[in-house]
Amino acid sequence: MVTAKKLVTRARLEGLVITLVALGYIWQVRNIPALFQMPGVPGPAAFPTLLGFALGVVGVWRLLRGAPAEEQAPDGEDVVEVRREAAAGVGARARGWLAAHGRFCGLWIVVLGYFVFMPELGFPLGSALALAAMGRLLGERRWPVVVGGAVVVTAVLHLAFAKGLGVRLPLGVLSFLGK
Amino acid sequence: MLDHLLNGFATALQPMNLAIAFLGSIIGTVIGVLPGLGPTATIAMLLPLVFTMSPVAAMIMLTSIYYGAMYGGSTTSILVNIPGESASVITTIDGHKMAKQGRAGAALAIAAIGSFIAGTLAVMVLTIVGKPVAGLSLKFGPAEFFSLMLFGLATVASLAGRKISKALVTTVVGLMIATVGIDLVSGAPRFTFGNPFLSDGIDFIVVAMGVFALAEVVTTAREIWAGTQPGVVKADKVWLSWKDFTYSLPAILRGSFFGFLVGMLPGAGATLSTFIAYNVEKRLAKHPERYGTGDIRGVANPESANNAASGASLIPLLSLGIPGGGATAVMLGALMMLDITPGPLMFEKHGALLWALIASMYVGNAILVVLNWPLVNVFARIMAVPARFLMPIVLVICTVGVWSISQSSVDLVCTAFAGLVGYYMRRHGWPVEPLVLGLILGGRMESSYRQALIISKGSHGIFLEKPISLALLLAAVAFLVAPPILARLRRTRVVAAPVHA
Repeated sequence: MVTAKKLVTRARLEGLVITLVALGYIWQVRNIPALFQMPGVPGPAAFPTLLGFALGVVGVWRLLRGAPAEEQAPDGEDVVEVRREAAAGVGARARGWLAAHGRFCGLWIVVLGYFVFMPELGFPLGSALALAAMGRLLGERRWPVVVGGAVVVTAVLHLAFAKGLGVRLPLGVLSFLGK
Repeated sequence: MLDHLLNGFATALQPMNLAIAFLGSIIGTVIGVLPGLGPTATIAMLLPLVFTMSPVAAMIMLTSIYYGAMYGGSTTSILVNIPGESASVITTIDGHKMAKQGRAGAALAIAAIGSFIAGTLAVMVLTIVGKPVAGLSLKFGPAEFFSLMLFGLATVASLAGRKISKALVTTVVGLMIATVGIDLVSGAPRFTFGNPFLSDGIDFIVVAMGVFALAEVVTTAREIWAGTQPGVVKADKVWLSWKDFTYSLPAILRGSFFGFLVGMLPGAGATLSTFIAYNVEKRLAKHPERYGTGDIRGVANPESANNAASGASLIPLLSLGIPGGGATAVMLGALMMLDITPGPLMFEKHGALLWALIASMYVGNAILVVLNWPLVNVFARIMAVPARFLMPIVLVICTVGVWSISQSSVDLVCTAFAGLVGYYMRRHGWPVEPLVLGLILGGRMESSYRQALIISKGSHGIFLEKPISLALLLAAVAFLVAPPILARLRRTRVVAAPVHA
């Protein structure tokens, strides 16, 4: 009997995502306006249509077939990790997951937050906060080093890029200082 | 021809010009070594420096900055696994592994030496056969170009080995990203969702910083937490041993050959040459399994191909006025700034200036080797900085690199998204390089595809009717199909073989 666990594999989920991306892409291709298109000559939608179908075919193939045999072979790092996780007990695994994934999620929040909010916060404030938070998350326990390092590195980078190379860095909430 | 070249060297070696080349190389290297700031961004930032210079001095300055920045780009590939520019994407595969093994110095040194040897060979070949082979590049029409790009993508996808289906997906996704923006032929907006910041398309740096830099930062963080991070990596040797050099020399020569061959095709560029040269090198190797594990030939080969291609791309630039890649596009800009239009009569009309330019490219390469005796030591020490300090700084510098492209928060959001996807890809064995090459080649590939179909009035048969195009397509299919078939045959043979206890 085929169990749900065997049916829903990562490869199949990836196949589903790829197929959905391809469908969304092909849907968007339909919105491309055909400007100055001569009859018999490929327009701006021709190449994207080709790509959309190519991705769709691979996606459906992956969805139906799952991971090809070649991909299922031992994969270095992942396999070691799976074995390590399997070797640990349930409680240890749960504690390990929380310890590892809590910081992991925190790091992504800091990194993505920095990328999204840096223009509004400004380079000096946004970078100093991101550097301090990342330094702390990556294991630096000394607060003076975390804060001092973040401030000094931000100042040096701001001076080097904004003054030295003329890159227009956003000042954000500190823009009154630039006036 | 040789007289002209010697005159060119006489100009390039004047003390003032030599000083300019030296200064340009240093500035280019120092800025190019910052992740996210590739040669194009470096040149754009430093362009005001050359406005007041004489034409020859300006050209020497620009080429030196360019070569310095290229070397800086390779440096970030090797040290922090972040390619500074598209041509050094392939260098990350073996270069960063070498750095992690404490061989950053050797990797940086072979990058400089390989580039120098390739540059020397390219100038020699350019001098001897430059003019006669210029006509050859005219044999490449849109159909041949499309097939060449497809061949390039196939070689990269085949690098993924048993993950070839994943590589095909990432290649197509890369090509899809390249379709974002205003269509240059019809002016129709595609996948811009009404956002003007997407009209210009998505820059290579935006995606590369996400899939390489962001993914690297998070991967390193996980290694730190898991206690598997090697910590401070001390460089064993800061320079190259004679054994390393002789071991790499054949790879350098083959890289130079393929680099020159692909580089002289107009529009092909150095990036494609590095991918093709690396793949061919791996297939020719006695122990191909060593590639990707920190083999020095995996650095020597693409770095040589890259530089040979830059030299060879002068052929279509000077004969047809078509830049082959970043280096020649910069030079085209410089030439136009000086009111010189490249074309078939350039050698006759502006011979002295052109030979000075060719000579200055060579001098720039030589200066980089001299410069790198002390700099390799300095750069290799970056690996000694604990990752918990280095990675946050790398992330902030990458952000500045992305921001400097067009001061757009849309770019930053795209980088963040690319980072998430890149991390997933890395974690689950999806190759990143085909995605990046697809993005780089996508625009040119599409224009060649459409031009070819315009010529053939919509018939796809044109790709099979042209002999060069057909040969390239067959080669692409062979690259994709042969490895899985051979692997299956090998497995069958192992199973069929009797087991001796």
